Amino acid sequence: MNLSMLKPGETGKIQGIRVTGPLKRRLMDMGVLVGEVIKVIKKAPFGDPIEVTIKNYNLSLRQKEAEVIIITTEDHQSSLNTSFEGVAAKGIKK
Amino acid sequence: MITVAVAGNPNSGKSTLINAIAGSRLHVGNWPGVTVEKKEAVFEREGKRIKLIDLPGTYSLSPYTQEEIIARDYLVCEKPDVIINVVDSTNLERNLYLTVQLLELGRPVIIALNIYDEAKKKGYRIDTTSMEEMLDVKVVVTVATERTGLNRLLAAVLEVAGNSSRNHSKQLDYGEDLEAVARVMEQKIKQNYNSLAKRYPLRWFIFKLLEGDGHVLKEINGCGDGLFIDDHVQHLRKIYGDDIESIMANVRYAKAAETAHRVLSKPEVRKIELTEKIDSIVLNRFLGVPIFLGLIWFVFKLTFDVSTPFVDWIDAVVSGPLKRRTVEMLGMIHTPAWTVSLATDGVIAGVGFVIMFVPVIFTMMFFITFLEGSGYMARAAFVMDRAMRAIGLHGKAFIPMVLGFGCNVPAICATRILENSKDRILTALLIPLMSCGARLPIYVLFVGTFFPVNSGTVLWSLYVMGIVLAIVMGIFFKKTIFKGEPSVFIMELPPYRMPSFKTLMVYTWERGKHFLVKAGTYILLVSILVWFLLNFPWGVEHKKDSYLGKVGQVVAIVFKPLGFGSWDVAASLVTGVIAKEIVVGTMGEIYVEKKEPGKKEQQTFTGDLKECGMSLTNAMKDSAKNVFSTFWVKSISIGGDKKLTPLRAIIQGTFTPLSAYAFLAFVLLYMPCIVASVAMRNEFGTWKWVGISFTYQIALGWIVAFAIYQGGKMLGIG
Repeated sequence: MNLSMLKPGETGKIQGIRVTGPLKRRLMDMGVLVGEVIKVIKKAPFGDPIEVTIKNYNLSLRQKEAEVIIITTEDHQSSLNTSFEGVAAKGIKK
Repeated sequence: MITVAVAGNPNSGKSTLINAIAGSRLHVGNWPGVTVEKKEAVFEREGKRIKLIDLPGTYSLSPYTQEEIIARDYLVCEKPDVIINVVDSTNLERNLYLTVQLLELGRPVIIALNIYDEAKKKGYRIDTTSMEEMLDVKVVVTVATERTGLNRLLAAVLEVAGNSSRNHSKQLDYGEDLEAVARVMEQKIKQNYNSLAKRYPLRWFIFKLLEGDGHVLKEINGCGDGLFIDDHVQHLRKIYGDDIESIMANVRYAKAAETAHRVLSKPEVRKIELTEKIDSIVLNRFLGVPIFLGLIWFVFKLTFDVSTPFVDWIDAVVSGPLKRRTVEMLGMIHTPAWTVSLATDGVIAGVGFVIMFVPVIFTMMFFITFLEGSGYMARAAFVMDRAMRAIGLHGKAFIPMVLGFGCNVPAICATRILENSKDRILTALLIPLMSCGARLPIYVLFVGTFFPVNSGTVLWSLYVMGIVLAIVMGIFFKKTIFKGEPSVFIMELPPYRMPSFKTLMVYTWERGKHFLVKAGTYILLVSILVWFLLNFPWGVEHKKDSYLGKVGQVVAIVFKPLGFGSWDVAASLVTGVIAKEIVVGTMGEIYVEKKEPGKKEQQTFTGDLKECGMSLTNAMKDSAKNVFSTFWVKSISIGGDKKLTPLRAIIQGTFTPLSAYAFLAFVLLYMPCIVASVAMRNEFGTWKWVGISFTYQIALGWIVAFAIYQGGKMLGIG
């Protein structure tokens, strides 16, 4: 499942970014990282792009870019406030 | 001299902070070779000279956008004594991601925890002491809009710069595996590439090598075999199960998150914020687009109505008292006739035409700066992206397009915010269709003369015409010259903020000044040139026999079917190549002779002064009145009921409303001005796109004006 499938108000947990190169880099620089919780806020008047919240700020991206962000919708509520731990675990552990 | 680089995310209040510190000492220029704005200020503090350099706002130091490359190159090559890192307190984690990267550079960093007032309002508390400990940096709380914390910030700069034991930054622990690799590589580089180790921040250099940064790889020139970079990357890949770029981003963000989590305490329950409330209306599915269009219309109407009385006033003063006094003075010292003519009809007329549009340009710049600073510009991009994509443009391209309404030149420079070069070129090609401030003088004159009753609507129709044709041409270019994938659209939607009045004024002033300097220089030169073409051979009876008249007569043939085939109009349009505002200037030049020569107004000096003062008071009254009437739908006439200035009376004889409208359409479209062309060339390094721009615009302008005039005649209008 990917981010573009979410409706406004729904949240998901990022599992991966299915693209390489500058787009991936850009997404990661903006905080779109594995383990983060991402919430769709709204869609633009023409249905695209979408507005999401990640890392406590608002970001807009196109549906097409949302399609490369792989998410799951279960088991993320608990980590909503401690999302950093997921990232920290991945980055620092070992 | 202490050099201080100011780095930070976009929307972190960096510009406001720099304005607050440097104020009028701020010098705005460009980074060498590129058109990204560079702001610098040199000042003294406690007997020490401080040089402040504003780096472009970036989210990261990965070298993908022009801004990131500039910021990175400066930090790496120029090695500033201190880096001030402006951090948005309301968005700590993502801002600290840049901080973590800055710390890799090994220069001392001071964090300006900015926008702290908003953070407090949200109920955030940030433990600056533990932040200082964790990152081993100075942390100063600032509220740039209220000038809070600036003294402490500068004191910290002096302290850090004067303290050699602080002349470094802490190296954050990136985890055992990565650090082990870094240690091995550090040793190798020190052994084999000692000069590089001295030239570059080593830790930064190592991570860039691992990330496969092209610029850094070039430095070791393919002889990186001894460093076993690929082996290290493979090794890390196995451990983390991810590619190296992801590993680095994760590690850095983990550091940012760890810090933010430890120092920041937030209230349990989040309030619904103002930004969300505004966005629920402004980005509403049904209201979003109408609100956007309405807002743009409102801004332009306000700009127009507020400034027009002043425009009229300046026009009257320049062509009346100022000219009379000059003639009188030159007469007293027995100046030859041609010099008097040069001074009044060439220089004063030219300068007058520039000054006349000061009010319009500044008001316009003010509103555009406000839209940018408030955060609405990003919403405009969000709302318009889908539509912009239909014509092959990025939603972000909307921003330079909107800037184009102020002046095409900065707009073309602003295409830089687009990452893809195809996007940039296409946007720049369409920008000249956005009706810039320099075309406004022509509109003011013609719309005010021919359509006094519904001036707002007629003016609006011209702007809309430009937009519609940009859409048509965008689709055309996309299907012909540009084929391929659209670029990415990943953009922050910053919280709405009230831009500080001072920042607003500084920017309005800088932009307005830029326009005036640019316009002033070119217009004065051209005004003199035109005066020469018009008056030489010296003593020509009819302007028609002058050099310019001869050129005009030839070109006029082309304009016959458009309804304005007279030589004088053609001559004006020719001179408009240099800058469109000159069209009006030339008309002024040409028509000056037609001004009732018999009627010599006798005015005393004091009489003139009194007249100027009286009319200024009236202009202010009218302007204020217009602000209020803008809030009602009723349209204001553009000085329509006032006595027409001489030029207006004359063009009324030359044009019909229909041919005037066709003429305005042609002026809107027919070519980019010289300055915009130069900007385009600078941006893309070739005249090719300038040539394409000229060609398609002349063709388009002619076709549209032809359709309007001939179509109108068939319908029996005019």
